[in-house]
Amino acid sequence: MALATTSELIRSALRNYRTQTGVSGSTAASYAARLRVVLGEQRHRIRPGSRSATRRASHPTAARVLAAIRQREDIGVSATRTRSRLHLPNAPPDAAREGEGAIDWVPAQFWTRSPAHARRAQWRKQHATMSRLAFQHDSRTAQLADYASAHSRLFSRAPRAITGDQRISTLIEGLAVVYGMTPSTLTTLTQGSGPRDDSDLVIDFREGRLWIRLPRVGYNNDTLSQACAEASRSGSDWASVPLVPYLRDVARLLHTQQEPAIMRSFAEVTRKIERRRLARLARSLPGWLTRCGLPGVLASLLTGDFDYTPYLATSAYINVSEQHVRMAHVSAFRCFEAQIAAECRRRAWTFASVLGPGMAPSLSGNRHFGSRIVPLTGRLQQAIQALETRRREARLGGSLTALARAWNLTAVYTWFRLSWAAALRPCRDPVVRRGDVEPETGWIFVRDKDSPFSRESRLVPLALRDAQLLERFAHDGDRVRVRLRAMTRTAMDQLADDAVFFLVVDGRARSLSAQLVRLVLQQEGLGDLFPWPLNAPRHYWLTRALELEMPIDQIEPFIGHSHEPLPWGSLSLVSLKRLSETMRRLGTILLREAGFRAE
Amino acid sequence: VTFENLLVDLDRLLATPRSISGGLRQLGQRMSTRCPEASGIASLVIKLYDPCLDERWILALWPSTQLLFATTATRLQAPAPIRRRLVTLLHQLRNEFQPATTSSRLRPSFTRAPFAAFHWSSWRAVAHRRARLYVVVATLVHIRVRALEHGMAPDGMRFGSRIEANLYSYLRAARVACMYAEPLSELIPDLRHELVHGTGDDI
Repeated sequence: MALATTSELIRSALRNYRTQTGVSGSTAASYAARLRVVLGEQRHRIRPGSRSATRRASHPTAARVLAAIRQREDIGVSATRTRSRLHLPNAPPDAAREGEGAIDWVPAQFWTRSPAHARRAQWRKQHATMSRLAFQHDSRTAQLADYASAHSRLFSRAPRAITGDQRISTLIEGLAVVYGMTPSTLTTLTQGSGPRDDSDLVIDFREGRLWIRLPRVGYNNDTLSQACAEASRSGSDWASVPLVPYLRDVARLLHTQQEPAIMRSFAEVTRKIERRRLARLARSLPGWLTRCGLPGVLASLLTGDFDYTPYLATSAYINVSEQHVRMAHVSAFRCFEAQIAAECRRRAWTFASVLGPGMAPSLSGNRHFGSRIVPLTGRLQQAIQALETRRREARLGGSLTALARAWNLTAVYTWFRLSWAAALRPCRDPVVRRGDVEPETGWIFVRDKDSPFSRESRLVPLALRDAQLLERFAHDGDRVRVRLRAMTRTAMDQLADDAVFFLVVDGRARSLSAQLVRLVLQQEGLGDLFPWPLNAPRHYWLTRALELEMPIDQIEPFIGHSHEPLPWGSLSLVSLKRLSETMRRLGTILLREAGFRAE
Repeated sequence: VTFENLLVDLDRLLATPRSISGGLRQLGQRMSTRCPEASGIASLVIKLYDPCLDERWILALWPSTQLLFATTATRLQAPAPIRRRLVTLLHQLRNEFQPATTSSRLRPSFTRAPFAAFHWSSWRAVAHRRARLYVVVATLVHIRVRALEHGMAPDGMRFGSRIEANLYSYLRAARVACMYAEPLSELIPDLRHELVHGTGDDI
């Protein structure tokens, strides 16, 4: 069809572009907006008030180095070291006396804001405010009295004393008030002795065990190499957890019936249960258990429904054992049950614990499930040790080949160390830029997520010596750049002036990328020792944080999993300084665990 | 319309408002010395792309230079004799003074010389029988994006090195349009005429 207007021309070109390259709709939309300015009738002026238009201001040091190169001066002598740094305003004296630091008063533009879902964000903010101010009551949240009533009604009789459909009803409602499974999730429950292809939630009546399919986010486990599998913990797409003793006994009693009869009865009983009240109890339970110390990701896991929960991404990272999940749940539930028991006493209702006197470890083994790329600590230490042994000083006076190889290895090592110290994402763009490191207080400003859907930047606390190491590395990088520019024919045109991490490959300086890291490791003969995807540190971090019983909900925002309520929200009562100390402590522990030497 | 007026208008529409590098200035002086009658054109040629462009790219960009001057003169409705004189002087300048070329197989840097990178890569695509739309829209794109640069230039200190990045975001979109647009034969003659000759808004 003939094109008659500029708009049609733009639309047709971008349609072809999308079809042939598969770029996202948002990219095409941004091109369309610009094309309306350059080809169409739309008028536009780029204003300095726009953050993206001015964010990367020219760097004085880079400008001086470039000018010096043009004038062929002795750069090593003339280039002064006045690196611009992240300047954080000091906390007001009153706040400082209460233990708040500069980071608590960081300007708002450093924190990401959700541009969409304004109404939902407003609701969450109000809800989070109530929560932070210790007002736990919310019309949507089931309160202790509701749980006390349910417990008294459901669990006050011994399992053997319950008969018929009531036994099924007890199991169904028990799954809701003990694990937080909503009625809509429970309608998908099927019976089996293990994972089934046709279901996401399976109950094994004989063993008294739940099988829950984990959501697959971002990884295709089929493409992970055999070498990676051998060097990593075993994982699985199916989580499993033994039922608490009371429900396990009920399930075993039901097992004596014929299987088709149970499931038919299940469907009938589920229809008869008052869904709205049960849904309220189930929906509120993860919140109560989280308050009692259960990590949010595990609370969400036990509900059997990860869709649209804020812990969806985190769930893809962790590798935990059945026993760990069970003990964490029991520990939190025991704490919650104590509050329910107190409420029952106050109201003179009967109460019986569903947990029983003690929880013995399961006899059927302790299977691990979740991420398949959590490195085995021994293999990891072996790889890091080999990398440290191979490192050598990058001598500016030597040959270009020797300098490039030594520098590449240093850059890769420093990148690995940083990603293990702060669980950064594998970079797709210079992740840390010049001036984004604050070595004196141990903070870096990272931009490690750059997808078509979101651009994420955040401040991350770093142990002081690692921040200083990074600063030293940036300084060394300046000297290498000067050497490459002044005395070699190395092409620098694809290297951003403000990139801290760069490599020299095939006569060209390039920003560090996952492919180039792999290339350097192969060239040094270390490729086989690092079979994991470069995202592995994040998996290891979250997994170990859970195992070490660190407050994972406080750590997650620093590694880029931001979900409301954020610890640095405007009404937060938590000091970021304290949170950052937790993060730094964990970073130091994990660096040591991974085998990195203290620099 | 006089030839001098035409040069003033070309300068207003096409040339960078920012201060150019020493290398480009020296090249302009050498051109003016060797070919005094084309000194007005020479001063335009060196300001046609980016302030920091390596002067060795000027000859490689000559086809685009001619295209931009000739099409803009048409958009300005300059009389045929004046346009002929413009083209003659451009040819004379190129024949008399061939600047040093670059042997590099690389393109000009998108981040430092976005105009040059856009024109060089698009012309190369045209030479390989692709991106034919470039021939029609090159001048319009150049004028519009230059207008954006004019808007940013007074606040140059605040924009810093983002000026080039901001400009390239628009030139990149234009390049995508050139590469993926339907063949020129799919454009109706009126649209082609409008893209080449303009509607007078930019003048």
